[in-house]
Amino acid sequence: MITTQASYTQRIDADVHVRWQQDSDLLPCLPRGWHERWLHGAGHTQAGVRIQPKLYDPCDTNNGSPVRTVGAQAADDPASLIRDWLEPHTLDAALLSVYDAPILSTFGDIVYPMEVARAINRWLADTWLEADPRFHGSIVVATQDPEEAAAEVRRAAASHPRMVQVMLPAGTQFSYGHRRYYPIYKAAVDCGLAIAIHAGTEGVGTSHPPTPCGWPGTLAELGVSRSTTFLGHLTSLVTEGAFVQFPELKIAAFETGIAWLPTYLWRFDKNYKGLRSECPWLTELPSAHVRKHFRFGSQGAEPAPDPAQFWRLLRSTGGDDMVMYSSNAPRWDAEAPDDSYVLTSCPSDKRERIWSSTALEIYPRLSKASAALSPTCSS
Amino acid sequence: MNQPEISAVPASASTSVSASPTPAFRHAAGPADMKEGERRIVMAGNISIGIFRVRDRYYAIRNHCPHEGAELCRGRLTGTMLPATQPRQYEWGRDNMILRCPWHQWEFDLETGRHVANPRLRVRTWRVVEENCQLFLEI
Repeated sequence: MITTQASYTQRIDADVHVRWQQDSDLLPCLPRGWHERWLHGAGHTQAGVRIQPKLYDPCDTNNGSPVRTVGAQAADDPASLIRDWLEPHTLDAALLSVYDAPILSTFGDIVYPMEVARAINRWLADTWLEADPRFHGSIVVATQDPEEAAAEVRRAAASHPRMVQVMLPAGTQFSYGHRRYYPIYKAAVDCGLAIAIHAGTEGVGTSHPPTPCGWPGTLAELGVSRSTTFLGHLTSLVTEGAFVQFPELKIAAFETGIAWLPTYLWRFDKNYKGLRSECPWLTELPSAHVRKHFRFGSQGAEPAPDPAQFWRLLRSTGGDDMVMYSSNAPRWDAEAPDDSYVLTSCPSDKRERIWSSTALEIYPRLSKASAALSPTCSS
Repeated sequence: MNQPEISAVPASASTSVSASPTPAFRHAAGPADMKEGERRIVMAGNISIGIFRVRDRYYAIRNHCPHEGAELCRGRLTGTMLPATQPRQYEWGRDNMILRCPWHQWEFDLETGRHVANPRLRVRTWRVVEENCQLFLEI
C-alpha cells in the first residue's frame, strides 16, 4: 500500500479468538504435575464435572463432543488466520485472545487455573505473537488470587511487547469495582495494558447467574441479557473509585452492546447528584469517568432499524467516540468489516476513530507497535 | 470545592454592617432570636428565602432548588462526606452546613449556595446582618 503516514488509517480488529489444535499443544508450557488434569479432567474439577447448568447452544460447534476446558471455536493456526481474515480485510492489527480462557477465573480452586493461565500466556506469545507482527495478545489470569494474578500480568507483559491487554470475563463472583482486583489493575497500569472485559462465563462455575433475576434457558435469552452483567461492572468500577485510584486505567468492553449506555448514564448522573456523599471520591459526573476510561467493541452493537437514531443516541453522551471495530472472528456471530453495523452505518467523520484511534487511545502498547509498523511515505 | 465565597456575619457582630459595601436594599427578616439549627422562611417581595442559624451565624439561601423547583429550605440540614481523593475515604464535615433538597436529596452548601456534586450549579445566597436584635437581608 502506497500512502502517506499522515493520511493512513490503521485497520485494527480488537477482538479475534485463537486456540490450540490439540490440548496436548499446551503441555510444553504447563508444569508436569498438571498434565493429567489438563488432558483428562477437562473441566472445573479433576473429574471433569462442570458445576453449572449447561445451556443448549445451537451455534456451538463443540456441542456433542467431550466438554473441553477452554479453546473451542477459534482460529487454530496463524497462517490460516492471516490468509482467511487479516489479508481479506487488510487488517493492520488483530488483538488475539483465547476465547474461553477467562473461564479460569470461575474455577473453585486457585492453583490449577493460575497454572493454566500462565501456560496459555506463554503459548500465545510463542505460537502467535512471534508468528506475525500484526498479532497482539491478551493476557489471561485467574483472579481467585489477585496478587498472584498481578504477578502473572507483569511477567507476561514483560515477556512480549505486543501483549496489550488483560482479558477478564464478565461473569464473576465480585463486580470489578471491588478493591480485591486492585493488584491486577495496578499491574496493568504499570505495564501499559488495558483491562478487557469480555461477555461470557455468566453463570459459569463460581460466577453469578447470567441475570440478577435468575437463569435464562436458552442462548436466545442469554445473548440479549448480557449487557446487564456488564453494566453491573461499569457501575461498580466508576462508583467504587477504581478510576480515582488508577487514573490511567482503561477498560475495553466486548460483546456488551453500547446503545444502552446513553440512557444508563443519564440515570447514573442523575442519581449521583443526590447520592454523591456515598462516594465522595467522585468529583466528576459518572458519565465523565465512563467517557475517559471505557471503550466498546463494535461487534454486538444494537442495530437500530434507523442508523441515524443509533448514532444520535450515542452522540448524546459521547458514545460515538467510544466504539472501536471488533469482529469476534472467527466465531459464528463474527462481524466482518462489511457486515459491521457500526462501520457500515457510521458518520464518515467517525470511520477513522472506529478503525483506529479509539483503540489506540486505550492501548498504549498498540500505539507503539503500530507506529513501528506504519507504512511510511514511499511514493 | 467548599471554599467559602460569601461570608455570613457572626451573630455577635451586630454592628458590622459597615464591613461590606453598602447594600442596595435591606429587607427586614424578623427578630434575631433564632436558636442553633433553627430556620425561618421569609418573603422578600415575591422571593422565598430561608434563614438558618448555625454556630452563632446566620445564613440566607433562596428557597428554590434549581433542579426541579422544590422548596429547598424545607429540606434536612445536615453535614456530608467531604470530597475525597481516595476510594473508601469517608470524612464527615460541614456539619449543619449542608442543606439537602427534600425531593431528590441534592446537597447544597449553606455558605456558598453551591451544589456539592456540581459546584458550577449554585443557589442564590444573601448576607444576613443583625442590628438592634433584628435580622436584615442584604438584597
